[in-house]
Amino acid sequence: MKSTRRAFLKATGLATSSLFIPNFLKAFEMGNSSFNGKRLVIIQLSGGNDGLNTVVPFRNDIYYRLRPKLALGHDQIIQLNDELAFNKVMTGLADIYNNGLMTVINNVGYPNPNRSHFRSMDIWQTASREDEFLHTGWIGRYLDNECAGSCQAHTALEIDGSLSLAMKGHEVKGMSMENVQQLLKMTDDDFTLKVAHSDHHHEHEEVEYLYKTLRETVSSAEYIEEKSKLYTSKEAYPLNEFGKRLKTIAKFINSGIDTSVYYAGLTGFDTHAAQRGTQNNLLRKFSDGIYAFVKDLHKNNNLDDTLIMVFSEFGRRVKQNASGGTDHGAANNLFLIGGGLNNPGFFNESPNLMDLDKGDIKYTVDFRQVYATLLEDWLGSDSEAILNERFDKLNVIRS
Amino acid sequence: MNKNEIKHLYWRAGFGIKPSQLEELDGKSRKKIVAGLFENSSEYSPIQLGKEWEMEDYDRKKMSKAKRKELKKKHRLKLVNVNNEWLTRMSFGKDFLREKMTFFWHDHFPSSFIFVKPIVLQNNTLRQHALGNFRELLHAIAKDPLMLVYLNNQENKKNAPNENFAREVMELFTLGEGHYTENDIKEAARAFTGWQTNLSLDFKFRTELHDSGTKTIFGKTGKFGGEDVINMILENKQTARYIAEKLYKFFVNEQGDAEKVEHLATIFYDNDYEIQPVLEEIFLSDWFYDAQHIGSKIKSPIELLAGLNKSFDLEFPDVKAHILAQKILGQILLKPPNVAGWPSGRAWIDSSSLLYRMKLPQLFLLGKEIPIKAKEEFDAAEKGLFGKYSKKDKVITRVNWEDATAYFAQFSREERIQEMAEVYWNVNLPVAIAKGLTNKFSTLNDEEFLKLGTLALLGMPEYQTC
Repeated sequence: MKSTRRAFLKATGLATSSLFIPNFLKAFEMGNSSFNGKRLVIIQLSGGNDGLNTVVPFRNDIYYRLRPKLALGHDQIIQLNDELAFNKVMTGLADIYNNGLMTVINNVGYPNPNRSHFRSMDIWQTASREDEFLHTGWIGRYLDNECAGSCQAHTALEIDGSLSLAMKGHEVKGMSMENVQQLLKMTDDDFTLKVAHSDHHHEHEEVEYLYKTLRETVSSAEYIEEKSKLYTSKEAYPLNEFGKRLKTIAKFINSGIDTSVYYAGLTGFDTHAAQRGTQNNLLRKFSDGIYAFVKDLHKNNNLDDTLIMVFSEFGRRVKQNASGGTDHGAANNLFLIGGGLNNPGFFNESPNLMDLDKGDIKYTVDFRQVYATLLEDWLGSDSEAILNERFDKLNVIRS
Repeated sequence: MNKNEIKHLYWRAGFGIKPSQLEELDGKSRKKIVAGLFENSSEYSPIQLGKEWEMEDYDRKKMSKAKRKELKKKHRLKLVNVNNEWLTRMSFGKDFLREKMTFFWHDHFPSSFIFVKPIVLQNNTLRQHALGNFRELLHAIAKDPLMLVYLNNQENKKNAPNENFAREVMELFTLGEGHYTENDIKEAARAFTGWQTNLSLDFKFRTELHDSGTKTIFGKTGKFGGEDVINMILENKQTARYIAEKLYKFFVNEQGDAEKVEHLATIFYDNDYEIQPVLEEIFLSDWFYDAQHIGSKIKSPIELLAGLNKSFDLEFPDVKAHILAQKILGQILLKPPNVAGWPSGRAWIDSSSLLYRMKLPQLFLLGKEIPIKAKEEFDAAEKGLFGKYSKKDKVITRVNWEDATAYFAQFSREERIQEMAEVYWNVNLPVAIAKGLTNKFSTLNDEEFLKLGTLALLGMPEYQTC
């Protein structure tokens, strides 16, 4: 604890000392009741990542015919089996794959795919049907289901300035921060702390709700700072924003912070024009970041209890467009990475480019099947209560 | 009316009240004050767009991809200006009740688009009928170019019906879920076939695409057209109930009240969907001023922003500052998330949005930076819009303290903090906090005392409710 805060804690300020309860102490004592020791890290690739130039069907003639300029030649790939290969820039990810730490699920999507970024992202984040509009996210409803008033705010943590819909439940919401410093800048001033700790009676439920949110935020900020400040990662992460975000998550995991779900994103995948350079840069950033992250967790013996899920709101059109790019598509591949996978490798068949829906890949795995699997087999929760429907699980988690 | 009641009315019917106005209205009768609201909103003035925003030239087939891209960018920037113009009307216009109702209908009939003209056209339609008749509004919206495009009625054709429009009209705009069947939707979609718009943004009824056959809707059979369907929907009192409930939750309390809603629905239905009588009933009733309702709502981001503008006459040299705040807080005017509109109440609040809200007055009134960035845009086309704004940019606004200075000067130092809360909060300030703040700022001069005292109150969670 910094001395200024200690000084503050001694001061009575707006509240009298008898009413004053240092919330972070409670956080230490109580622990996080919902935490089962497993961590889920969700990585959102925003803008619609072109899955076909990420996992390349390098034996498929249609792929080369429909993408005369964009298709990756045999010198631009890292072969994984006799059908599929990674884009050559993803050396780290190939290493992860070859070490049996990765499962690729092809053709993930949903019926009647929506090709608007916002709508499709909402569908993925809320786990709604394509024709229903939900105001809560799937992780938020996981919190609703698990917490019942007993969770700390950092049970689900997004590494970003603001909180995604995915993280908002009816009753409980996750928390967001760019990093510890940014969070402390927001909470660690006398005024905010005094307000958060003032214990006066609030005549209105809504005002009480605001105070409760503030108290929980400040309490989690204190807890995270205390718990993580002694840990320094020895791993070299790429110096970009995505690398920094992953480094923050690894720091928290390796310091033993009891967060169940982390959420972070990498954006810029909306490659309508001049796709090659843009996407390669992004995929390199993505792969290098994940590689450092996985190594970091592995060295600290935290990889077996961590599962990374990587998704994008849709894939892209199989046929290239006239601007050296691709337009919005439908089904896409999704990655699971970690030490707890059952039978890693390719989970299912390659995309069928002979049977397209308006030029886009058809889905054969509903994304909510992936969610149901992660919720039940990984987080030990009740997927039907969270997804409002029962979905067949996929056999991808080692029991 | 006492100051508390006036403040409550002005926050719900508008976007807050300045200290001088609060003083001016203090003690006047409820009847007179409420009548004043409607009087000040009796005239309708549309948002104006210049000729260069007409749609005829935007024929996709005649345009290169580069030209289209350039055009989209131009429209996005214009949309920022229109957004600001609307927010300015809400904040400073005397017809704030009309603007508040336009805002209500915008959330009720949400749609968005890349071109600015249809957006402004729809917004003006909502504004025109905002306090008028819901029957007329619904008929107008059903023929509104933006809505027809947004809900895919352009693709609703004989032999190939698209049900999107028919479904949302019933589910979200009028009856609500559970008050129609899937078959009603199927058949109603047929009745709306051929309802289209063109690049001149006129409503076009295309007979050749219309299914003029017999339909069975709500148990009635006939060769119904779209207008018939709308009239049948309005015949059902459930529509009045559905709208009355939304109005109650918007103006009175997020926690509904079945008895009051039924009472309002009856007034709405008996007045053939005239909107004003329902609002008058609410604002003139005793129950509207019950303690349980005052300060019981969490302000939406737009209410929060317009309220700050109004209280301090804020002027933004760069309108993007406001858009950025709307984006971070999750409510961008003219850009609702989907056809269901925005969530409300507690949905606005999470750890980071609450901290941002609490620090927003410091940003706007003192130019003090908030270390929170907006999420990056993932649509390549949207990137440029906020590109110029990094977290390093300071939002320098013009702030007017005169009104507050003059008003609070009449109170002693000991009373002043309490009086500030009486103006800026909609809930009571505990005496201990008032004393604490008064002591804390005791060495400051009057000007600093006013500023820091105000900012302290605006920075507390209580300011987030109205």
